[in-house]
Amino acid sequence: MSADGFGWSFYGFFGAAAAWVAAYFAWAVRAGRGR
Amino acid sequence: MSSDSAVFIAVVVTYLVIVLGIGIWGYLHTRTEEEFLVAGRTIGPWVGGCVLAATQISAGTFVGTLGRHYLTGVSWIWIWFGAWSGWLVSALVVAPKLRRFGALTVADYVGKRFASEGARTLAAALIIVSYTIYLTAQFQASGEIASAVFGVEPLAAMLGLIATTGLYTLLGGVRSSSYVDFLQTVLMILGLFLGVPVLLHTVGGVQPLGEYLGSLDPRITQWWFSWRELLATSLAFGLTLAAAPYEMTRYYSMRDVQTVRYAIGISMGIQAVIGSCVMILGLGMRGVFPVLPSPDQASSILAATVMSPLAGALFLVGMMSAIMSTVNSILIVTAGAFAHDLYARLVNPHASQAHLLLVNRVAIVVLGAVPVWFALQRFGDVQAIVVEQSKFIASFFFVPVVVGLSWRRGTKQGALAAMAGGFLACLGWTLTLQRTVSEHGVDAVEVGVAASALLFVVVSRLTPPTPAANLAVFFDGDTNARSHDAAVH
Repeated sequence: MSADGFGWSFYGFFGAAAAWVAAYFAWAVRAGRGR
Repeated sequence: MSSDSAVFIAVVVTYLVIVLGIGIWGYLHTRTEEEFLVAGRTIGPWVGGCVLAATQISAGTFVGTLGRHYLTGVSWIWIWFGAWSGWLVSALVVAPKLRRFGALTVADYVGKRFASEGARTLAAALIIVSYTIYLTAQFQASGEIASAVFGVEPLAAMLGLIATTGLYTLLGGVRSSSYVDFLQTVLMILGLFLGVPVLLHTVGGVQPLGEYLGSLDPRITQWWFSWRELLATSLAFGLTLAAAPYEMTRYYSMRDVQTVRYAIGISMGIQAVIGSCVMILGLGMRGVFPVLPSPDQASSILAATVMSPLAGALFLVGMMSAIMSTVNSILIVTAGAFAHDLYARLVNPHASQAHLLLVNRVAIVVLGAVPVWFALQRFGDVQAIVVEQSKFIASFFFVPVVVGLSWRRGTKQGALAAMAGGFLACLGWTLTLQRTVSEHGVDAVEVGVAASALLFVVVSRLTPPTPAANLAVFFDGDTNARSHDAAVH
């Protein structure tokens, strides 16, 4: 738990969501080039 | 009239004038059913991404989800990964094949893939019934917001919603709807962006808010729900969004397969921003108002009492946009199912393009008016109606779409059994064992999809395969597309 009371259920979401969207676009670009 | 209400009326009137202007522009560019239902397949990735996001973000997000964060804190945010898993399945399996097929309605896919007019008719009928229930929830939410914030009669708010949304939908179809969706997504994000700093300033920042909420109940800032509870709800959202007809029909309107892929990614990015803001607003409202009569009132009270008149008005217009964009997408998919899949096939196969356009527009008015009556009866609360109808759609549609696009051997008898059996299994479980779900942990959507999958595989194995000519566009498309690319380059 961080000093401000919020844990990784809060901060972890932002990182996980950014990673998800970035990984998706990496796949989408590759798929568009026919891999 | 107070200056606050004058500001709100000015903002709403400006918004509605722009929306109706886009509707009239769409009307002037719509001559055929293809232009009305799929915008002549001209929608690009940014507008397409906003269309998909605006369709998914509804009254449930601004009212129900914000209220859920108010009540239970942070951990509900992880449900979004369930929704995005559904989008991922759609991007991998559903969207490319549907866009390559390039039909007008979702039932078109069912009719072609399974070589069956009966399966097409059943799909169209189930879409109309289940989405009429979904519309009921949206109308009910608009009535509740209007009566809570402005003291307006719910019926007046519902009639206002259908008059405005129905008008721009029937004028320009998907073409104008897509650009209105783009505007509405911008307004939703703007309203939320205005709310977050105001609320964080009111509570003194993130750290004091976290310390205060943690002192109320540590689960609010940590984990209120168990991983099993989060997984079960995520599964329901994922199964629904992987094959949601009101999203699938919008794939047809985009330029090509790659545009659809990018649009899904942009949509998920927009949802991440909106979901994060909605969570922070729910937490902030708990910090400012620890005890509200109903969590669903948190968003309305935020706009009416915490934000400035102009920012509050923009936030309420964002909420209106969330409801209108979802209603609009539902009207397009139900009217298309009626006009294109039922009327033009069963009643008047020789109808002209002008006649079909008229039937689409009349269907929007009629199918938009029917749920108003249901909404006035108040059969359940908004969030419950949204959740229940999404379980039914997943139960009858996930397997024929996702498995049907991945497995050549699926047949029309299998599809009919999967749709009817999945729907009935979900209904049966909802009416009986769903009440004790906390004991056995098995939800109606899991039963519905499992029954649908079992029936699809078993019945398909026992019946003759679908003709190869019908399967080619769905299963040989990758090869054809690569051959085409090689020839071009």
